Amino acid sequence: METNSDPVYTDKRHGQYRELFYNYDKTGQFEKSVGFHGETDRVTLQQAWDLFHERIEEARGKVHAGKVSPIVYYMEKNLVDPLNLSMLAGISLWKVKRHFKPRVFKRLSEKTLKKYAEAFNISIEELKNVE
Amino acid sequence: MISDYKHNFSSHCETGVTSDLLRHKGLDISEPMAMGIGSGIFFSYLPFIKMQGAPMVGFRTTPTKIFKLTTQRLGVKTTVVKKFRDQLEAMDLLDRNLKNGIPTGCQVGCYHLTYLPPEMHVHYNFHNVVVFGKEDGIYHVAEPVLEDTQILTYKDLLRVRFAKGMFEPKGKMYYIESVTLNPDIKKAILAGIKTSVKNMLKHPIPFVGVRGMRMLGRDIKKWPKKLPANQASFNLIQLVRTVEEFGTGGAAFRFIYGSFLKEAGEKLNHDTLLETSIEMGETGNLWREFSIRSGRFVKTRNGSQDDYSLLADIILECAAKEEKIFNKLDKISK
Repeated sequence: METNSDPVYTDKRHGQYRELFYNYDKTGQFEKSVGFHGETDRVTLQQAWDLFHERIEEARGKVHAGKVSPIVYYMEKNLVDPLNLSMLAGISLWKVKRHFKPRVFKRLSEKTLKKYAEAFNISIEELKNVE
Repeated sequence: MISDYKHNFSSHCETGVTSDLLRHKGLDISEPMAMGIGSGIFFSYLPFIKMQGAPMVGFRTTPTKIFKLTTQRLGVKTTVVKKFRDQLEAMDLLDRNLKNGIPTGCQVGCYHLTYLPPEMHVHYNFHNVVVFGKEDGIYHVAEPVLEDTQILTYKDLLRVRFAKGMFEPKGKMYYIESVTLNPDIKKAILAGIKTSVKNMLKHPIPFVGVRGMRMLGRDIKKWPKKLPANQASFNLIQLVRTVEEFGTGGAAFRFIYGSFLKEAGEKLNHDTLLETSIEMGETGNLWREFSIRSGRFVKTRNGSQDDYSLLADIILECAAKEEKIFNKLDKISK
């Protein structure tokens, strides 16, 4: 494992924290080191996060275009899938999938909206309006 | 009150918690040792369970299994409370423990842990922390994957202990009652290896162990044909994240397990263990190569059939190597 003594995430979306790595070198020694992710790791992991942010942006575009409800955007933002969301909010899966339609979402009761807002850890106003 | 608990920075949450709790009681068990004795090495490929649309690949056993097996094999008396119906009862029991100065391990969900950096705020419920003190309604928490100890309020701790979602923690908590100093470490190590061998080679479920790795290798070859390009690369990136990011200490626990084999070999003066530790280190390097190689073309999404075949071959090579290692270990653990 490559490690770095300097913070490498220049991206503001990420926090900076050090990790403990175990590594193995050619002489047959296992060693512990504390540091940030090395250059090669960072590139790989950064790509993963880029992919997630791409998905989130795509969902945001769809919400603004009126194709899907804001729930889809917040679902992508929280990195969960419909099944997981149904467990988090305590709403059955087929209902969650139905609530993805903007037409259905508009008619949702305060009580259901509150369940979603609690699952995403946001307020109801934030849930209704995607920035 | 706050007990004189010493927090150690560790790589994986559960082995860190286990080794720290044992060290607090005066039994010096390092993190790799806890990994080996608790049979923490594992592989499972579950294509029918989807996480955000990607098949689930697991590298760890069920939560608190490492703690349970390690303490059992070292002859340590513990209490594990599996679940609570009443949330207040769960907090009261924790408070009582802290009053008596017993550091207590808790299974928690990551999402509402306020002190974690933003990219770790995921709905992941297999995390473990140690609560070791309470002062003016503020809980002191030893977070194994962070360097310093942290604090949590009553409300926050209640929320993470009863996090919702897949595999709910339901307030699970565990603590050590008494230890026997000078346990039979040789017996414990061999028992740990024996279970690991069983998990990796002889597990009845075909998705688990070396057979599961082979299955994953075969499936990766099919991805570029069967799936659209963005789905294939998404599956791959999820796999790489599980290998490198979720507190594995690098290369899906292979390095930690390798250092366990080395430490055990030195302790017992055993040649086979030392030999296998080197092989395990090499396998770890192969896993690292897998993640680095897949990182190269994931972004552009133009991975060709050859690229995927190459990755699949690395996984198959890992499977072959690990089969060899565990066959060797099988002979000595009998």
